[in-house]
Amino acid sequence: MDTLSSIGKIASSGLRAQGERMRVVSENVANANSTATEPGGDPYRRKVISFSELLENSTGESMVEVADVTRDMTDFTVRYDPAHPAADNDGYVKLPNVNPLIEMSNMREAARSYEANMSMLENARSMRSQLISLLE
Amino acid sequence: MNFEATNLFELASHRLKWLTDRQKVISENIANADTAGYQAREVESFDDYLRAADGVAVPQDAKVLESETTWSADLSGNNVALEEQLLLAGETRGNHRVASNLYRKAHELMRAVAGS
Repeated sequence: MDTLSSIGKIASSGLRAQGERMRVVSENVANANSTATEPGGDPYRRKVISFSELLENSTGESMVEVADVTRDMTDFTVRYDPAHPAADNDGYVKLPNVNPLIEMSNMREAARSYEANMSMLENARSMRSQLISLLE
Repeated sequence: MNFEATNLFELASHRLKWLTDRQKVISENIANADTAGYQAREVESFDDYLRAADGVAVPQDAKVLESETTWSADLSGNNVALEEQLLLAGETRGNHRVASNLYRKAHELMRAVAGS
């Protein structure tokens, strides 16, 4: 495998990882108001994604993969709403620990990293066509 | 005719190889820009690479080292700055263009001398 194709592989592993991150963000945003269905139950818990380096042994390329999608164990906020179906005996409803601001900034960062990987793909492509044009 | 110019080909292809290796390391850095604890890397200098490639029939890949200084580091110890890496990538791409044009010009030179 030549080095220029490696760049394509590495950059697309980055694209995949950032796309996955975007998916987790959108899951969090979609469930920002998902409370429990039974009284006193726990609502949706925010998901957190983490990446790790993936070393391809045969070629020595260092790519990236999604290491884990875990749950954010920070506390839920509560709201007093006795009429809510998920309210406990005292009338309090637990709300998901999703903060739209954090999700938004996370999304922006994912988009930015995605773009950077995209431009590496484009760089490799133009370097290759530069080399091919030597044959003309 | 002075065939010293043929060294141009060797120099240009070493340069192309080194630049491609460099671009690969940069793309690894960018892919791992959000990996916890990842340390940014860079290839050895072109001087060092040329010295190692001197007299070797098939030049090896450029050595990969950890970057000593980068623009930023986050709390997890990841010190890849996307802006910096993109700047380096653009620079590498430009230099690659220069080297491949140099290669082409050297070839045209030979052809002009050969009269075809």
